[in-house]
Amino acid sequence: TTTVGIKVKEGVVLAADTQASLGNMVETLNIRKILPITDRIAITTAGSVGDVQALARMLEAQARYYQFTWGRPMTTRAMANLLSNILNENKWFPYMVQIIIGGYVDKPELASVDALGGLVFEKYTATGSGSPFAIAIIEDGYREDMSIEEAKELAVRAVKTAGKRDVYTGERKVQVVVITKDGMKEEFVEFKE
Amino acid sequence: MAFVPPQAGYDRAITVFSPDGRLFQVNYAREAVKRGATAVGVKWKGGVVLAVEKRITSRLIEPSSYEKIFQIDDHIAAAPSGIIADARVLVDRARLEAQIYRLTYGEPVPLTVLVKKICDLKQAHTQYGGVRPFGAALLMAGVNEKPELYETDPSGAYFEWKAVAIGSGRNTAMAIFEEHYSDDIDMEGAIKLAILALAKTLEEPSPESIEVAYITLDEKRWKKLDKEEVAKYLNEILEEIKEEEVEEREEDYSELDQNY
Repeated sequence: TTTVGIKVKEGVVLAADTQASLGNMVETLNIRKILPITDRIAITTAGSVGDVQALARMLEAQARYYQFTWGRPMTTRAMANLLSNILNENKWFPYMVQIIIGGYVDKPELASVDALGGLVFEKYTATGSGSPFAIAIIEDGYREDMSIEEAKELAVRAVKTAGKRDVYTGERKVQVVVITKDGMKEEFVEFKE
Repeated sequence: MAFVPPQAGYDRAITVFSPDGRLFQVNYAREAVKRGATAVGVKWKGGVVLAVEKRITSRLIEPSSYEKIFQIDDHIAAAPSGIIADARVLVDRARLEAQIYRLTYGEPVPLTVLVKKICDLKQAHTQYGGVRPFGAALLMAGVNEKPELYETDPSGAYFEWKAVAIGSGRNTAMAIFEEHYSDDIDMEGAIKLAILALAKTLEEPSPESIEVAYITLDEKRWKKLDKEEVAKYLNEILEEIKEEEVEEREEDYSELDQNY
């Protein structure tokens, strides 16, 4: 797996490969690793799929409960903190996950959360087995004043590059989710051989 | 001295029947509802509308802080009458149960499930010690496969209605529903009937004192009428009343209480 997140002024870009590995076997080349939680916040999946899905369901329920109780949407920062708390409460029997959370509620925000709840807010970040390759590409290409389009290209290039050198990362198809003040958009970028 | 014997348990709460089989505290809770601000609900084939009376007692109150139709989930809302503090607790529980259901089964909670959960809680407060009943009735309304409208009573009893009113204006509003409701009423008809019934219970009906929300089967999302829309409907209704002058029929609907 390789998932990346990039934050720029206009919003947040999340990108991930679409290959699920089962040991050394390719289980499928067509899965979604970026899951929407609200209409303005999404998380990326790396590690145990079941664990991330369970966490995603919890976050979705909490976000909806928050919305109806307080009459305003949960911010990305609040949700990242909540996720960190859930993970840390389970530190002795942890969820095996590495999650990037990105969203645009009142402003663009991006954070990475590790299995024990370690929470770091970042301008850009990468997780998964291919992350060393991906982060190098982003490190080189990132500028704070990038446009959303440029950030999207950089994110896709980072995942594709990781796919070339990491066996457990797919290189055929990249899932991209862009979140701006106008909401969330998903697309898939495919590469032929 | 340190060992004061604990109070005998029999008069600690409301779990005691009167000799003729009543639970007085539950009846008193109903009285709280009867004195509460009026709330009405009307169903039509394609949706359901709720309208409540807002008793704004001072011009210094911030109107935005005073909303009385509570949204429970995308597709469910509640209108209370009685002790609003008690109603808030029920509303909070309903919101929580709605999301717990979603988390467990991955689908929107059916209104019946939510109504039963809330009524289980109300019933528990008529049976177990150390508590008093909720002094609030809730109209719970929403759409799943079809529009639904329920009344929940402080005892934990619930009923499904085509059109219903709770609170101090219940008798007046129910008389209007009995007279004007028909099964083929449309959306505008239902909204106007709800506002008419509510306006009839008010001494000086005004758009400020009426809050209206509705949901349709097509959209499955609650919407509030803004003040201008309420004013428009209210004006139309007041005009119509002036023209035909419907005879006031003050009927006593307290026999409905026999249902409880």
